[in-house]
Amino acid sequence: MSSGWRNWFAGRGRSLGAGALVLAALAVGRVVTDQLPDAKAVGSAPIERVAQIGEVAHLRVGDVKVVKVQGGKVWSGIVEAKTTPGMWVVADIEFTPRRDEGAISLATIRDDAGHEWSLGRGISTCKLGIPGVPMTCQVAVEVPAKAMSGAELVLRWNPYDRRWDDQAVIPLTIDDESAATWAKNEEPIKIPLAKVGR
Amino acid sequence: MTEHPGDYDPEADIPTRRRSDLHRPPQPAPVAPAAPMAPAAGAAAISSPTIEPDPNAGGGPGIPPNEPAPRDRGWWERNKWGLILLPVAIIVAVAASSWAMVTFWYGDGPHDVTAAKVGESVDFRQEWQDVNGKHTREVTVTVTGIAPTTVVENYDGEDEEAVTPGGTTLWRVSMDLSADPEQILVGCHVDVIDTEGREFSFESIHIKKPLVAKVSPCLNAGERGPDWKLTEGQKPSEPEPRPEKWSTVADVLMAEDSVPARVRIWWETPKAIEVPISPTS
Repeated sequence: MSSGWRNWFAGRGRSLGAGALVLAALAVGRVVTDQLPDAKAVGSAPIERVAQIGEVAHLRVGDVKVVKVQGGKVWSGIVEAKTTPGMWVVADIEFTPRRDEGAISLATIRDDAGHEWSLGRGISTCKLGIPGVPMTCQVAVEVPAKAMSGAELVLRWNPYDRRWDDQAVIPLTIDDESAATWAKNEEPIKIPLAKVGR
Repeated sequence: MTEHPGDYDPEADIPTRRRSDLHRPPQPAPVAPAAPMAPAAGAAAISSPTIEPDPNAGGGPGIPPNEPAPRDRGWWERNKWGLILLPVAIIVAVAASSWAMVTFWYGDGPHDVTAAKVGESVDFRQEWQDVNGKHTREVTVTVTGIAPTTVVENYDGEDEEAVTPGGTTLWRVSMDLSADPEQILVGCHVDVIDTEGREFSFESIHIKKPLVAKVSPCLNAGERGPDWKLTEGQKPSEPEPRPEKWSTVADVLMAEDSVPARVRIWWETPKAIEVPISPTS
């Protein structure tokens, strides 16, 4: 290699090479960033406390236990009743708030295909508790009348902001048999006011 | 290619030169001072104008040998100002992003607290606003004690035997207040915080009997004083004149294992009065 080329590589060529390396690093960084999950979303993702039916999930806002799950075409509260072309999944819950504003204001059902059914026209009576005092209450979520693979009931305090807080995840069994049974159940499922205290 | 002192290539020696030297024309090669006399045969080469500079005498090719060699500063010294400013930049960045905390939740809490002891009067002052405009709330509050109770003051201001949910206990907070009768004092809140930090608010939704308890924890029945105006077209309520000084109670439902530790009185956050308290106070 002649001395001129050597000098060129030692001078302007080196600068261009450094610039090319920087661009290549930026391009690789962009590809890696696009492939990885968003750090902010991962960092602020809700913390999930998985509990089976009958087990207590210890949440920041209190202890929650699903004691029974049933389904039907109609739920009936103290002032209203609602029917559905699908089916209502109703969970009976024991909840002991830990905080003044302790409540279960979000109840959703999700499956392993990424579908999620929010509270919508449903109801949660697990509100306005007293810290340290157990309450029995219910949530009702409207879903299609069909079997769901990997169905889970998600219960948490806040329906508006899912960042950082924890939530209870209760695996459900919604197979062909239970879906068919619940979709035919015309008997209204009673949802009274929550009972606070023992 | 053979290098000659006169062949200046501005990029050839970039790695060995300082940035500030890049556009400086090269200095001529040093020439030994002319010999005062005819040189001897052995000294002819020394006075030759083509003599190569002593590489140890200067900064290398293109650098004037008379200029002192650049001082080899250490990494810490070269980055001194960056290192000094780094903590400042971090603090500014954190402060600039802290608006989210303040906006989303901090202002909702009772963080501007005036602390007082049991029996000690607090002159509470707070700016507030309703449809009628801006007001200044001025009231003197004295918490005089807390004790368990089995009765609840009802809507008519009478004590009535209470029926409460299992697993709860009623506590009665006693207070003395004084204010100008024209002061608007509706909207008062009384909370009791227990030794575990759990907060219990004055409310009657879980008290089964009396069916309708006292409306405001700070005001007595029939002595509400002037009302606030929350919406246009709000009809004025029946006048309920309030004395300049009065004593009242707030019955608070708490978990049965709770031990009261503080009483908090407030109208609008973040301002609040907090009084450390114990059942024997």
